[in-house]
Amino acid sequence: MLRLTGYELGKILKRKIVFAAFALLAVLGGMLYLGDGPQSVISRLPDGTYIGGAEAIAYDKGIAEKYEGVLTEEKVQDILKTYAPGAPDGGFWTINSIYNAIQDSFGNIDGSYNGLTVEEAFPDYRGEEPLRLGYTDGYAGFIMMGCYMMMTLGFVLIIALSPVFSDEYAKRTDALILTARYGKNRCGWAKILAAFLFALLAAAACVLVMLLLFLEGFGFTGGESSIQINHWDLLKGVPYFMSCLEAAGSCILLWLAGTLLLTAGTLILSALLRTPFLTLTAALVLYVLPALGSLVHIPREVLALTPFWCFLSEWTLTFPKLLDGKLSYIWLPALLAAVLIPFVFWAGQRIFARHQAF
Amino acid sequence: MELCIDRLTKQYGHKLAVDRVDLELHRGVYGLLGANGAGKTTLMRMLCGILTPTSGEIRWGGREIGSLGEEYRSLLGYLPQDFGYYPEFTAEKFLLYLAALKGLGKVQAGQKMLELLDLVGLSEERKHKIRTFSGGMKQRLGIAQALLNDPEILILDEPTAGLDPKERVRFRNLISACARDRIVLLSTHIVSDVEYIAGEILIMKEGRLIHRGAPDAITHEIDGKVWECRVDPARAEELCSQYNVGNLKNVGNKTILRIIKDEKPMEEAVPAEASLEDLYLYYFQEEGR
Repeated sequence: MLRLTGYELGKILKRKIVFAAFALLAVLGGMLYLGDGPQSVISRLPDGTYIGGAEAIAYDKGIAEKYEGVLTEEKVQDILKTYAPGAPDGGFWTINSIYNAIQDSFGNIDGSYNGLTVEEAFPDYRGEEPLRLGYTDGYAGFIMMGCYMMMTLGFVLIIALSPVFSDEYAKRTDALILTARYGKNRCGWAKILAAFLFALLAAAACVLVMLLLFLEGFGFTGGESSIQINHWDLLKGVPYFMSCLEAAGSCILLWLAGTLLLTAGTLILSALLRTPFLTLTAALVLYVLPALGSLVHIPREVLALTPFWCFLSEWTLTFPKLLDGKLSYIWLPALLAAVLIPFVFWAGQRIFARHQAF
Repeated sequence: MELCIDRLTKQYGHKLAVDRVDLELHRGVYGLLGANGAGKTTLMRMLCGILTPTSGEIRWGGREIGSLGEEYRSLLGYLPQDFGYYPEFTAEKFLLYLAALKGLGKVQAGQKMLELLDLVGLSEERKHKIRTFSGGMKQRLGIAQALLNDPEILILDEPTAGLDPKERVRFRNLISACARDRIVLLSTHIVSDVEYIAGEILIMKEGRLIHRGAPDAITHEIDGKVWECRVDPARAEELCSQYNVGNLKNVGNKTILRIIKDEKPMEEAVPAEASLEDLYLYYFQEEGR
């Protein structure tokens, strides 16, 4: 079985188009990192001059440390007062990560305090713990880049996995396989195992590289702070207490669940359809279609189970918890993936073994 | 052991591709002859277990092959018509991959791969990618993969299609060499492919097995139905459109025709010894005209 899995993994990996797709993903990752990574951080010093990169990050962390802890209106007013640029359009300026995070929710266009309480500024928040202020830049940046990267990885996975079964039909190698001793059982399983391994390794590598890059640039600082307070205006609608570490972990879980769901769907299509092109087309349509789901009033709880929305994890994290606040919604896609994996092993192998039978 | 085919039928809608075929195959080479669409490939795919019969069954050692599953497939070697391959694989890798699918251990697979590449004359090319191979080389690689597991049942579907005469002779000899101690079923519509190597000829027409027998004996069926006549070329043309003509040869200003017909076609026709090709033409005259 291991030997067969190795061969099947080799078949997936040796396609030039897969290399090209990964190269494009790497280019996109590089561009996103250059745009939103640590070197892109800038902060404004009290004298009006700007600093950037590691220096700006250290400066921002210093400010965050000063205000770290429960978010209160007093801290909000102090931050706005201390760092306000004092210009009519100062609210649009990049000052520092803490000021901009606070300004997004509590500031007027000129940077002055808008008078909202914490409860009013975060109307969806129902957490038992109060929101905690801290340095969230690294985690928020990681999540944002991760969403785009994983969404793009989805396309790469579809390109790589569409041919798993259908290429055998198109090349007419299926007859040789199906008449071999293990052709009707282990070969199908090996193909599915190889596909899941490939997808998980690709997703894990993608996540790991991003994690390392962001940790290297931003460090672990701010892990206990509420993810809702960040200058990207990201995850502001999360209705329960969520630390940056929890947010990053939840996103990784959703990304991996999305990877598994996408792999499962692509494999079933590949077993059912006669050519890799047909499979690719169908898988791409089914992958992208949920993006339009909210326009045709498909319940968001259903949409959130699709790979596309798992990758755009920001959205799913804003769902209220289930079972009286005991279960986060993010576990449902993971649960669905766990159910689908054995189904794909059963159905994929069966469809492949019988596709010529009638 | 014997491969027993019992009232095997395959129906697609209203079309009967294989119609109640009864057959017992023992060790030896069987040549399955039939025109395109006669049902040869359908029959072979059912024998290989990749196509499910509409009715009837195939038994190996008294057990239905579907219930034998892996056990049956481990006895099977199959070369499909126009078989597929992985262009980027080398001959060596292709055989090792199929050896793994056939359940051969790593060491055994390596030895068998070398042995078979040598047998089919591809040792020198074992590191070459299959996409660089000629049609004949691919067919030889195809037969090598079919033999990887030392199959007791070897099924070859139109293995000589697309090969030049030299390759076909080479291929025939190769089949002969590896045909001992196993059942070899070879389908073709090229009579000479099986004339010399098959112990028994099976003739299929419109899904039915219409005739079977040893090549020498089977031709007796049409004794007295093969005629030769020497005529003018103009008359030859006329006769060609009128009768089932097996062969036509110009000698001087005359043309010698070989006509297959139940009755003497013309006064000057003389009886000729029937060959397997004549038999084939006799049964498939409609397709030939």
